[in-house]
Formats: sequence, structure tokens, C-alpha cells
Amino acid sequence: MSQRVVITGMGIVSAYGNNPCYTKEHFWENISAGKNAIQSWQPEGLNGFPVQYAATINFDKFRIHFSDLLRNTPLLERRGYFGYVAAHLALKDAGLQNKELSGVKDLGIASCSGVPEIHESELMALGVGEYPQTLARYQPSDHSGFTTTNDSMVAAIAAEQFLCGPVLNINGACAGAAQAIGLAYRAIQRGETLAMLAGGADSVTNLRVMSGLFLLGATATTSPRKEQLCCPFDKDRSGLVAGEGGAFLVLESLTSALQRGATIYAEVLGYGSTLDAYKVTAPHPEGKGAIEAMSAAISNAKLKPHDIDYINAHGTSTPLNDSVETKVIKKLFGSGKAQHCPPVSSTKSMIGHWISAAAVPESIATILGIYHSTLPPTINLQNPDPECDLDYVSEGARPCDIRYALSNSFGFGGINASIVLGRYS
Amino acid sequence: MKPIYIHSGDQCLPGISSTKKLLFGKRVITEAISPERSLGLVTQGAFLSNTNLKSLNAGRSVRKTSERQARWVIKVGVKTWQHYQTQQQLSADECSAHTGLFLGLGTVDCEDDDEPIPIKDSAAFGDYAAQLLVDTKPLAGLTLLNSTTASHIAQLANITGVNTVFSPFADAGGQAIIEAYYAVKESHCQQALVAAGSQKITPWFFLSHQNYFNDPLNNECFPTESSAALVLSSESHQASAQLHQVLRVFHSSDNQLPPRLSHLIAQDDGRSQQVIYTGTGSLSPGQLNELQQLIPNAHVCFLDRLLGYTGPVGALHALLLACDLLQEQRYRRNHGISYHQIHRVVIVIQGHHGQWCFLSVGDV
Repeated sequence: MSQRVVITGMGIVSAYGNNPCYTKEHFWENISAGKNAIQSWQPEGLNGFPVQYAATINFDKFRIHFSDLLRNTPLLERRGYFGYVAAHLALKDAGLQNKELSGVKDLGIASCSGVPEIHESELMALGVGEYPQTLARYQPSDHSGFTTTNDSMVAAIAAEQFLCGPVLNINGACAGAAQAIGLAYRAIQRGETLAMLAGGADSVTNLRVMSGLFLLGATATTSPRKEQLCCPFDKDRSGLVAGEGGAFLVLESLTSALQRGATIYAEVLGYGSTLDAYKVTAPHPEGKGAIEAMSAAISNAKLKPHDIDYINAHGTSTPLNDSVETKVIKKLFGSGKAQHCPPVSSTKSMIGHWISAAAVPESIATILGIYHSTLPPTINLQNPDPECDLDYVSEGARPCDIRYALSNSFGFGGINASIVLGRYS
Repeated sequence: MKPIYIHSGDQCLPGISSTKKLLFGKRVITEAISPERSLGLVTQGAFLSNTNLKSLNAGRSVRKTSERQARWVIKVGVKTWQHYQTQQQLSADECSAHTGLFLGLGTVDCEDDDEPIPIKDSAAFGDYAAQLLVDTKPLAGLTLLNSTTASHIAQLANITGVNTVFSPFADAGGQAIIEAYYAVKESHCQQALVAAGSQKITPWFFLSHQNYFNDPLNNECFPTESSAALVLSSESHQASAQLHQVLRVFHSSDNQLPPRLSHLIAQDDGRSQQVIYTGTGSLSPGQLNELQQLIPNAHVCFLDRLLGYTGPVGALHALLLACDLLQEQRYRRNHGISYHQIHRVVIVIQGHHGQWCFLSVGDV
């Protein structure tokens, strides 16, 4: 029998934590207030790097704040620590921390990971002298992506929390976390496990990956707008602005959640994932794969497009994504007409693009939007693009009774994933 | 319950055409690796040559954004899909959205050339950053993404359905098979292409595999570059075997097998006669003893000792070998070949950190 799947916990470590305060309430307070977490940024020790803004976490403050929790953590990459803490916060929020886990057997984890993080000083050291002799002599730093493999974070969480269900490490580019949530949802739905941590963590604020994104032409580099550089759906948008962090949801079977008397924030109702099969360097011009992912998720939820009250867009602030996403939303929801479409917002405008983990903070914003009956806003939308003519909630958070919402993630190379979330009733 | 069938696909292995050759005493061809390149961890490795993908009509952008380990997977994936499509007489339109794609891959930690961009001893960090922006290939950002391999296969095979890429160790191949199994069984797609590849053998590979090669259980193992693919579907026509049961759990004990394995074995009604194990060179003595008690009549083949450590693709090699054993009606005994009626094979896959996958495979 197919199980209903609900969300009973959320944990997030975001750039809003620089105060420092790392609670979902604090995250929602900032998101609903339209607070911008993007600030001036340069790779450590550099001036004049072409990418100059990002939503970053003060790592030193973060480590001090969570020093007790991180004392015995295995060595992880920077992003790994964000995810490790976020998973801990999510389980705590769900009331499933440590010994209490015994009440929910077969808890697993599905998480995403991106390109290994290699610190700039390590790359530079490797480039000096004869190779590979240099490498053979070289001692990578404790937190290097060289030695901490890209499933280290999920393995560390699984071991620390005594998980015994599926432990999945997923690479889905910018759709990775959405796929993690989708697979976790399916695993519980089929009865493979009672509960799953689902989410991920990412940080691209290192020279190697940021150079890669810059050379692809994906990053915003023009800076007249300074901190307001991330402006999804705006005429002046020029590319993504990176963010970083870690976030996890606790997905649980409704039966288990009710038995435990857990707080239920929302329900996961549908998941769809598709491939463009078009080009690795650009999305399909008509958004074929994106439409199919949204349709599959809505159909999986046994809903119709007109049932959707809100869409949390992928909304990257790149010229191509935002116009194609607008086009496909109009096609699927409004028969080509903007006025028939539900409100759409991009929370990336505030927290930047978490790349592989992007779907988790966006899902949390959506879940809390459903829970608080409020649409999260899109900020920095000052000069509307005629090609982007939907209701982007640009005037600030708006009260709205959200029964069903869709969260979109469209990754590099045409990997698409959509999730339908709904109010629990 | 909808039965799920395995349709064998292509394999790329150094010096042998398929794992079936292992049944006839063939082995992969190994070469010496210098201590500088292996960080002193191994002396031998089995290497694949580069693949240019021209035979697949891959365009410039595919060739420019795929490195060696991706190309091995793209090649076997696309060829396997084309063969299946022809065999089942499926039209392209008929199947693109109804076909899933599930991959198990290593980590892309460097491009084809594993040497970092060289720098003068005296260069300041600012100069280095500027040099990096000039010398890094423009599409390197895509090449370093595992998911780019999925994009390429999707484009070349016209697959647009449900999909996931798992990484980076042996369990990733197992997860790809299991997720494909459920995707077909639950009708999220009609058939699923499953492909996997090992990580290319470079000094970067050894940095992240030091624990593996320092483990005494892996004394007999050497790294092997390879790739493999297969199709799972509910179509029994020309199927190689049936995938009866799957299980995946996390269990970090070095001395015991995951408790839930016994449930999977119990459902086999004692029919399992062969176990194929991959992920490390051997089970620990305690785990092996427990396995032999659970499946008293079965022989255990430690695939990585025969084939070398192949990482995520080990799971697919094991599954394809199981298909061969079931079809050939023979199984390994003390590294020889015995002829018996064999109807069920259990595959045990172990990841580096305690991720386990189990597959129960039977004849059609």
C-alpha cells in the first residue's frame, strides 16, 4: 500500500546565520522580510577576481557556534560541515535525535553533492614543480576534497545518527537536491523505509569551481547593482550569484508521524524528473524537459495544473533560464497567458544559488510559506523583462492560502526535477 | 507484482571483451604503475584506452565536455540502448519519455590531463588566479560534473525520462540498479538504461582511495578501469535474467552483515547457489562466516580479486556475470568452472562507508 509522506523536520545553515542564528524560524523571518544575504565576496587572498558577490557563511563563526557538535566530526569539506549540522538540526526539529531514533527504525538519507572542493592554496601548491612527484609528497589539508570523498558527508551523518535505511549520494547538478527529496519521498511511499533525511549541502566559493562557473558564462559579473546583482526575471539580470549552505528535511510516513505525535509542516505529494536530451551547454529553448518534469510531478500528485497555488521557481537570474522558465510556466499553467498562472517567486534572489543543494532552502521556503499562508517574495526585480511577465511577488511577501505548491530545479545539461508540496490535512 | 527483467548490455574491460571471459579463465591485462603515480599504494593497474565517441556520432560539445571516464560510460550506455531498441523494435518517439536513465559513477576529480596547471615557484596568488582563468578550459565547469555524463547519454540515446546519478563507490552502481528496478516496477518508466563506470586511475584517484588500498582485505586488489551497461524492463522477450529482489541498507559493523539480509535470503527459499561479492577484496571473516550460514550451499566469488577494483561499475559487472552464469548453467567453484543447474544468484555490494546493496537474480 502506498504511504502518504509528510515533512516533520527541517534544518538549515544559510548565510542568514551570520548573526549567528541557525533556525528555520530565523530563515523564514529573513525570507519573508525579503532580506538580502548577498554581499561582497572575493576568493581568500585575492582582489580583482571577476566574480565579486556571493551569499557566504562566516565559517569561523559557524564553527564556533557549533563547536560542541563538530568536536568529534570526521574530516569533511566546508560544505560537508554545513550539511552535517543541518541534518542534526532537522532531526532535532523532528524529535528524532539520537536515542529517540529507536522509535523510527530504518531511517535513511538521500543527499546531493557537487564538484569536490579543493582549496586554492592546495591547487597552487600542486602546480609547483614536477608532477606527480609533487603530489606524492603533498599532504592535502584536512578539509580537502582530495581526501574527503563526495559521500563523506552522508556517511558521517548516517554513522553519527545510527541510520540503517538507504544512504544515497546523488549528483544531479542544480537539480541534485530536488532528486534527493524525490527519491526519499518514493522510498517512504513504497514502504522501503519509514523516514528519510533529504537534502544536501554545497559551496562553490572556491577558486577552482568559481573559475569554472565564470568561464561557462554562468555567473553575474557586472556590478552596478552591487549586492542586488541577483535579480531573477529582471531585464538587467546577467547570471547566477552563488550562495552556500546546507539544509535537510525529515520526510516521514504519515502513519509514523501520527504515531509519534510529530508536528507535520506539509506533505510531499509528487515528484517528476526528466532530461532535456538537448545540449549540455543550454536548456531546451522550448523548455521541453522542464514542462515534462512539472507535468510529471503534478500528475504524480494526482492534481491538475490549475490546482497549484504557488511556484517556487528555479529562477537563477541567468538570461536563458528565467525567460525559458517563464515561457514553460505560461504554457503549462496558463495556456500561454500570464494572467492565468499562479504567483511565482525566486528565493535565490535573497540567498543566492546553492548549486547542487539549491532545492532544499527553496523547499523549506515553500513549506514554511504553506505553513504560514504566505508567498515568499522575489527581491531586486526593478526593471521587468517583457519576456518575464508573470506575477513574481516582487512587492514583498504576500498573504496567500497555499494548498499546493510546486518547487522547480533545472540543472546544467538539462536535468530537471520538480516537487509538489501541499498543506497537510 | 510486475516482474523485472535484465537485458545484458555492453562492457568495456582492459584486455577482455566481457566478464563472461572470466568463466573461461581469462583475466584483465594489468600494467605497472610507478610509485609516484600510485602514491606507493599499488604496483599494478588495468587501464582502458581513450574513447573518442566518433562511432556514436557525438558532436563537438559532447566531446569537449566529457573526460575519459565519462566517455567509457557514454559508449557502453548508448550502444546498449541502441541494441535494446533494435532488439525490442522500439521507435525513438515511442520510448524517449518512457525510458529512465540511472548511472553509478566515480568522482570527476580532474580532466583527461591529470596534471594541474603549472605555476612558477615565485608566482603570487593573484597571478595564479589570473593564470587559472586563462588556462582553464572554457567548458571545464561542465566536464567536472558527473551529471554531464547523463546529459550526453540522454542526448545521444534520446532518453528523456526519470533519472539519477549516484556516486562515488561500489554501492553507487548498486543504487543505480535498485533505483531503476523501482522506477520500472512502479511504472515511472517502461524501461531503464543503467550504466556505470570506474574512476580513471590517476594520482588524484589514489588520494581519495588510500583507505581502500591500505585495508588488508584488499591486499589482492588492483584498480581497474572499466564500464558496463544493461537495461531493466518488464519485457521478458530476449531477457537475460530476472531481478527478483533488491535491498539497500546502511550498516557500519566490520564483523557482521546487515541483519535485514536474512529476510532477502529467506525469500529465496534456499535456492541461491552462488554469491558474487564486489566492493572490497573480501568480506571480513565474521561476515563471511555469517554469509555461509545464511546460504549454506552457495559458493562465494570475490569479483574484485578476479577483475580488480572497479568501483561503481562492479555492481553491473556482477549482475552481468550472474546473467552469464544463469544462461550458461555453470558457476565458479574454487576458481574453476563447474556445470550445474543454477537458478539463483545473490549479489552483495559494499560501499566504502557501510552502504550495502543486495540483488537476488534468477533465470527467466
